[in-house]
Amino acid sequence: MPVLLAIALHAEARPVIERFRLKQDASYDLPVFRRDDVWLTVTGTGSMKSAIATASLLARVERDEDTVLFNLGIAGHTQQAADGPVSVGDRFLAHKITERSTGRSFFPDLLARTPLAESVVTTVERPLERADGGTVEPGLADMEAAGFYQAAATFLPPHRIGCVKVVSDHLETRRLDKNRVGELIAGALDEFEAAIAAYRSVRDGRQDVLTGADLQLVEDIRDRLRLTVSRHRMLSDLARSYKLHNGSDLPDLTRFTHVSVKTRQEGDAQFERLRDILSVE
Amino acid sequence: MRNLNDFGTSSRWSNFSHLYIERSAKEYPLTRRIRERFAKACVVEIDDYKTVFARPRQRFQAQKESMKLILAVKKDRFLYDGSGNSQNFSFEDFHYNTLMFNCVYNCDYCYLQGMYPSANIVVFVNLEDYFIATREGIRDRSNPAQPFYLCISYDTDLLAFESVVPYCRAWIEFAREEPDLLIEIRTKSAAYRAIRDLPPTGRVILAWTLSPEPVAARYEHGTAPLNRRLEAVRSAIDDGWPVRLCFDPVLAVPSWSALYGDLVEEVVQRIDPAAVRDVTVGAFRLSKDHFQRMRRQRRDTPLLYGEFMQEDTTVTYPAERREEMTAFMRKRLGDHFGEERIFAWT
Ligand code: SF4
Repeated sequence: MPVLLAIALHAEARPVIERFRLKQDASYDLPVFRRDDVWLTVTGTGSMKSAIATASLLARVERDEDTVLFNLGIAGHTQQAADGPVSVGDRFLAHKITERSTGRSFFPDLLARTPLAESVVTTVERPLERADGGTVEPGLADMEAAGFYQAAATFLPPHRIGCVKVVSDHLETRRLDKNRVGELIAGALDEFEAAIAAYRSVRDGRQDVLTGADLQLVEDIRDRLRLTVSRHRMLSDLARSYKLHNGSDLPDLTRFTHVSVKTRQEGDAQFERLRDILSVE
Repeated sequence: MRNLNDFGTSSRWSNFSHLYIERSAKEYPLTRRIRERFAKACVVEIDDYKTVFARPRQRFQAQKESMKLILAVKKDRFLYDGSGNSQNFSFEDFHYNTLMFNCVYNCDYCYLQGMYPSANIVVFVNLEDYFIATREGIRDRSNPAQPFYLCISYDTDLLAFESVVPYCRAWIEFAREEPDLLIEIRTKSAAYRAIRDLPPTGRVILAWTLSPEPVAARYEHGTAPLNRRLEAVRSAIDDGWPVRLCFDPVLAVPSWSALYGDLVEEVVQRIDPAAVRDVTVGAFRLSKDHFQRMRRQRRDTPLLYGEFMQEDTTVTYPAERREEMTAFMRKRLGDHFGEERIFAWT
């Protein structure tokens, strides 16, 4: 059940690495830190770099259907500093990510309920000046979310992708020192962890009546009988039908994992035998 | 290190925690009403409902547990021709419309799981455009001797959502103005009370789908129990509405004949058959494409596994089983309702 994290800057990643006690894995071209099922990549700044590193991590890690992927980082907020409820250090989960350069918007699927407030995030190509704050939808402005999301959505369902931003400024273009960035991220980590846990608790859908062992058995039979893809699917569905209609485990089919077939006809004959055994009528 | 798995128990968002609203839908009265109704919902502005509804890799059943509401303006296709999988009741001009995508209920056998990429509910707020298209349809219908027949709860259960989207009410009022229109509103709800204050009209048929209670309880998640559906049927009849009873789909569950036989008995004990306009019967059937897509997502329900056959583009039970089921229902219903009021899909 991997948890994947894509973070732009070392300064943003450091508190996360410390919190999860991740260790650098030098076998990757990109900076990757990991421990058990948590993987973190430092992507570099900008949408393109974020997309590349995210896609590369996704391609390398063995994913299962519970994999979740998060982007975490600092962002500016369009609200004037003393003009509203949002302050530096506040954190948000993105419910809409707009790529300013193309005008396209993307929507993570918000099935998990997290402790985080939500916001629009607009991804810009270079830091947004205060004077240009009105050119984007009110909310956060960052430089990675849109690239990150598009790469992530190529691999994962939209409810397994999260983007968390910590407000670092109100579009004042002063540079933040690294320690300050680290503090901001560190202050968000409890909620960030809770968000990860919430995402991980969401199942993808209804559970298959066939267990992992059943599916393995069906695969073993497929290999033994050299079944075509469509026959393999039929066999899986026959097995499901058997379990669902009888409300019981599969009958003993292990003998089909020992037979050897030489011709297609022999395979067909064995398949018909299986069909008889699994038929519910 | 903290173990991520130990971080408390987390929850899901409840239904309609988020409203996605097309920019162009913002000013419609229904949008305002829904925003008030779900005042705590998080509102996300969108350009086009498809950017949310048609995202790749969404999980229909995962979304069913936290459905979002998407408010949109439908741009075209305000009327569709009736599909071959439904009875046309001998009407030449048989149409349906899609005022909403998806349904608040979650029947195991529902083809919407195989039809849509998402379980989120899209409500089209520009009702007036549907009315305009329907008036044109009525005017241009092919057989002026017959009414223009329109199902408005075809791919959804509109009455079940009436408290949020009062479209049944709006269409009933519309039908009062249109002498050549005949509307069907089909439901598995008991929400008749939501329209009970309206005087009945012969231009709207209220249709209830009826299933044996064990079937409803196990496979028609969220719907009203049979008992409550029958109470609603009775109220509607008492108030003077034309009522249709739909035994459709009839499902090949174990002991189906006993279950459906008992269902007919219960119905005729509680409802006066003479007061029912007509009855429909149909064995479970689906389009091939929907069936295949549903099976990929639903590996947990016996209704989609077992003996099926394909006829053209329709998947259904093998002919013998289907004919047996249809004949059984026709006979049982015919004893009470008379053959001429039974419309069967065979
Ligand atoms: S009531 Fe009809 S539309 Fe709704 S889930 Fe059930 S079958 Fe589908």
